[in-house]
Amino acid sequence: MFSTGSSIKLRFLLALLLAVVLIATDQYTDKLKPVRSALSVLVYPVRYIVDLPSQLLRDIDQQFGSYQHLLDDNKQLKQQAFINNVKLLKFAALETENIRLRSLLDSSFTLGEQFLIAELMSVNLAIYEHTVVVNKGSRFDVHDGQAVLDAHGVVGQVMNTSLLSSEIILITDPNHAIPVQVNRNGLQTVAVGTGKINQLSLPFLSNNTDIVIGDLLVTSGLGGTFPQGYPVAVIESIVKQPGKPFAVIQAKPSAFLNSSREFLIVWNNSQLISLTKEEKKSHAAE
Amino acid sequence: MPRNNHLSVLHYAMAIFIAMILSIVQWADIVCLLAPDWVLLVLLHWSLSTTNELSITKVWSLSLLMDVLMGQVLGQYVLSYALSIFLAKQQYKRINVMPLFQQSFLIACLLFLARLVMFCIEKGSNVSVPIYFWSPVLTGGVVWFMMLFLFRPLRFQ
Repeated sequence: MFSTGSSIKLRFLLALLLAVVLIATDQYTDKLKPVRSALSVLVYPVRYIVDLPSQLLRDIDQQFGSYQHLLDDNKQLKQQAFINNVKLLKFAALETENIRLRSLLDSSFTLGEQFLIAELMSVNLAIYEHTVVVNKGSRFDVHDGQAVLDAHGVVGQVMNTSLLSSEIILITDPNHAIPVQVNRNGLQTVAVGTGKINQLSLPFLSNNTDIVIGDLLVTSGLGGTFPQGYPVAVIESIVKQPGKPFAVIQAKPSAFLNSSREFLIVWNNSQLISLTKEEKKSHAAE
Repeated sequence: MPRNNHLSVLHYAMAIFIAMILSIVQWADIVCLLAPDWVLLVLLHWSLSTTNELSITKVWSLSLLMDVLMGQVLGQYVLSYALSIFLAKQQYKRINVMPLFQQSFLIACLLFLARLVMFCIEKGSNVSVPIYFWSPVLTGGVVWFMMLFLFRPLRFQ
């Protein structure tokens, strides 16, 4: 039973007050990040258990997959690898050409990213919030603000990390915006999440902008979070609004946001390769 | 008051663990929309049945874990859970003798209060909240019937 009515009220009041302080601190500073990542380790078992059945099913599927199925898979993967290799042959030539052209323009650029494969652990169920949890955390040097890709395009960025897992905010979250450019003409803008898993919106383009349905949007690299040149979305609909400053433009994300299980976390090599003469020489020597 | 306090706490701990799992399992969209706030339901039940066991510290730390689990602003679940559980504890004697239907309605009201607090916090941080944000309130009230039925043996031990 309650010892005294007033003491329990006082304690609850204190608890509420403390909660308000917590909210304010977490909202406006990032001082509570270590607390969050420490507590994430505590809730890891819950996430692990939720992930366990699907993990087991996949393992069983792999164990008992038929021999013929494996052979087919293998054949298909070999063909894919062959095609990719041929594409890469050209890529090397294109990269050196790009360096040469950039040196003509006298601009510097970044080169080379490192990847880490992370697997999906759980999905945030609040449907208006698009965040997922993956199984690689600060143990693998994952840190906040890293870009996350899948095989088809940009997925999002790392929001919180803990020792064993990290939380990723998808590009379609209403609180997320990503700097993009139109691949066809280099037009730069910002793509904002809409809260729908298959839709981004481009709210800052005027009615007479040169953009058409089917245009590919790639990351522009502005802001430094996302590496340049990865596909983000394809323009799906354009509604011009005479009398209003901006058109209503929707795009469909290229990444398979609601079906990918594996993601690539990117280490952006942020060191600029400046193209001074000595460096050009050393590059030529290589 | 229950004779075997220890067992009861253990049961509730297990129930909360299961509730936490249920709250992050991904079902079909329609189930996700309707899924009630399992953890708050268990906590409310705990606060009503064995009043002296659910301390403020427990509510506080469990709801902090919920914040981390659901990826919300730290303190959002703490504030909303603490408020509705405080009200439940204040009136627990009255709520316990209510007919089942009336009690479920009251629980739905408490769930609504918790949602309202979350709504205010989310609005405060400029998050757009759709209409189905409120659906767990209704289903929570319905599930309360079922929960009472399941936990009845524990309650009258």
